[in-house]
Amino acid sequence: MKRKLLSSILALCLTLSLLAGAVSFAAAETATEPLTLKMLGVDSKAEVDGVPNYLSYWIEEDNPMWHKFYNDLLERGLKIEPDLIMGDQYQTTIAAQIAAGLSTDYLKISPLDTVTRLSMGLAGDFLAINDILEYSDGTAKEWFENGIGKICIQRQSLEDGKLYWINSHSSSVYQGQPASTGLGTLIRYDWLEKLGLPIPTTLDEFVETLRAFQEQDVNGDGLNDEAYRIDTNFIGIPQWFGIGTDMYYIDPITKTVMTPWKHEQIQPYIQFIKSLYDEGLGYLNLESTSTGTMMADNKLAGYPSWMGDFWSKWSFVVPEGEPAADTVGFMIQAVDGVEPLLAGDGQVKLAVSDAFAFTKQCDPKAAAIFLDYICTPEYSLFSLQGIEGVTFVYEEDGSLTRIREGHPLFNDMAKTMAGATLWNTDLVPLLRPDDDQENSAVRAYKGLASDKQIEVMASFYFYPYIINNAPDGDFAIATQAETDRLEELSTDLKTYTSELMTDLILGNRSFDKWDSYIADMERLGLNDMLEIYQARYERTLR
Amino acid sequence: MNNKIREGSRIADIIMYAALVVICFIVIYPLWYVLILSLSDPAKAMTMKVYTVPYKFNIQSYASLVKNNDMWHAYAVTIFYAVTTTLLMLVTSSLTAYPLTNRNLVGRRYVTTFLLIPMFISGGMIPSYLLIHRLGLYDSPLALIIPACYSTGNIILVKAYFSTIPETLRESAYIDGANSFQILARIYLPMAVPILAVVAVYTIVGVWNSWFSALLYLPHKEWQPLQLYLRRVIVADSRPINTLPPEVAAELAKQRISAAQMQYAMIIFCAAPMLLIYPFFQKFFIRGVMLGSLKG
Repeated sequence: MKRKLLSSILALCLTLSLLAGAVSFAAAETATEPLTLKMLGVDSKAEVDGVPNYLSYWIEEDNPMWHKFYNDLLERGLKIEPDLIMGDQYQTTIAAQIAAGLSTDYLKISPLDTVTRLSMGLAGDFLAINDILEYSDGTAKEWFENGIGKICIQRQSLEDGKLYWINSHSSSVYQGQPASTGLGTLIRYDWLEKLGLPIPTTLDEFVETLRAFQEQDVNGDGLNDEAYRIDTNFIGIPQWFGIGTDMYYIDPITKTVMTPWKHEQIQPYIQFIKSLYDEGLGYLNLESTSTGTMMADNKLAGYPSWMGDFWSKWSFVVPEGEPAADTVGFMIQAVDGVEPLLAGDGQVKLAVSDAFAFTKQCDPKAAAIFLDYICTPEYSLFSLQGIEGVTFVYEEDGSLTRIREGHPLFNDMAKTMAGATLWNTDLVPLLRPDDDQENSAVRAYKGLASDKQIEVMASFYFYPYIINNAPDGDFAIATQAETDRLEELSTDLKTYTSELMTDLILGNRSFDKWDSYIADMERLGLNDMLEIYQARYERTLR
Repeated sequence: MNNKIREGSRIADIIMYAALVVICFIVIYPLWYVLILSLSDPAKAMTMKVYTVPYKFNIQSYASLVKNNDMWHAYAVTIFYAVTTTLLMLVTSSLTAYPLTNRNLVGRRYVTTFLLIPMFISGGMIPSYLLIHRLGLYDSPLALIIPACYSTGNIILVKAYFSTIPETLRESAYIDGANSFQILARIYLPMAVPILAVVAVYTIVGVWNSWFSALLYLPHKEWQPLQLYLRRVIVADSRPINTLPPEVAAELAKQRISAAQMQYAMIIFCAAPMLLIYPFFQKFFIRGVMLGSLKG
């Protein structure tokens, strides 16, 4: 009996030890290594106190921003292995690597043209985002199916209905309302103040103001050389006449695809620009005198740019003792009955040029973990503002303040806050839902831009007639056939219209032959181009 | 009929000297222009309106450059490439040219033709890239050294010079018991110093100025040469600012201002070594150009 009992106990111990071994073996299997994501991107550069600072330096030094990004992903079970290429070399490098066979899991495909992206997507060289989302924990799935990411699926899905890359996309709000950042015409506010002139509100006032700058030699160099920079790329003054920003655009009032060249105000616009040029009040951006030189010589009276452009004033060299250059945006209704437009990036923006893809050798689970992380509000705040207590703080009223020089918490890390842009758009798409312009611009620009400039910039946030300054983002992606046709005709059309604009302004061609110019454009394929974009627009609306 | 243009004619001398002065000005002035811009006030340098002497002498950009570790690193890498490639070029040129000077070499004509064909016909950039990649040389400094250390043109130059050395010297040496390597090392190479100097100088200048191979084969800056670094500084991001998001535009505007004068200083820094050594090696350049054009 005793022997039987001992045998039973021994057998039980053996069985239990076998079971324990099996469990621990299973546990060892499930306690897996993190998944790996090899990333190919640009070693982007920012300047801090005039010293170049690269993203690769951050990685080498285990900078707190990089450390958080890396460890957040590691905690989620993903180990990233970045391979950073210098910006000027990136296009050559990925073209060469595509030729030799890609060895990375994820890369920035912005330098690839649409034809190449389409063919690589349809050939299966990229993983479909739709397939990756099947492995999502729900965050990225919600973002792309019901959230702001829906814009990518609507506008960038290929003919097979799948999305093969992610574009940078964002939406803006201000004071709780959808907002759009405006891009228009700026004028020298310091010169207006010096001469006691108001901001122009009509075309005549604008011309008189430019004349006054010259006649009163506001820059004090003894020459009548103060002039406005004329942009022949349809940014700034064309919008006063209700004209859009590129060869094609969606008119915000009629909601149809238009071309500036068939707009009823195109001739009055060009004639107005020509009059500025003939009188010496404007200079062409194609001439040998570059904008940078005009700024350095303190001759530039105005130019088209973002309404909140405070950074360009660093390029102006003013005489000693004079106040620093300052600019302010303004808008004019050039024609009665024609609503002026405002170029901008729209409330919801899709940057067609910024695209990132997962390659066919990427583990879709790894891709899903990455997407689930970058689609979180926490990541969005981190990528935009940095780390709380290090690069920004919350005030008592809940508003956000960036830690700049002079702030009690200012430190070296805060100095490199520009680093938030170090990887946005160069290694990771810029994803910003409900980017509050109160924090991103109005408060962030304080101390950098003048109060007047900030006030004017904010006043345009809710302008109703926004025209996209990069209109390609408004359209669904072109099909292969459409892409081929656009490739055939766009170069000739752009060359012809660019030369025509310059010749009309310089007086080398006459407005009397306008019909022949339009006929030439139609012969080069203008109507085909408009039809293609109309078809793309209709697909966007579906 | 009297020929007024004859040797010793004063008018001809005046015309020739005047033409040479103009040519010298055309060649030298651009370098002088870059030099004075690099030494001028940064704001004035940005306007590019400094034509004769530096405006408000300023060496700020040079001071910044001296502290630029990336530039010194690129300098050291380029010197490394120049030295190794030149030594290997001398070795390969000598070792290939020497057997071809032996009239008794079996198939000498075919070997020479085999060497000449790739001199005129090249596979092009993509095949070259694929070859480098498949050899495992991508992202390796050897991608710049190995393809550059062998040149059919230099082999022909050295062979032509070796051919001027009397055959009897080789025969005498054989009789005395020397083998081929001893004859090459103790007779031919010491006599071929002038042509080896020509090959060395050509190689050094070529390697110093090269950047395209690095652009293709070296995606990371660790082994990138000086000219690629210079290109990076000169070809600054030229995207129109008004098409970029505001925060990117702000960053780009800051970078353009600080890069304006730095570019000129960098050009001088990168060209200085070649400018300094060129006068000492000028006679070798002239000799190299003349070699092969005169026989006997």
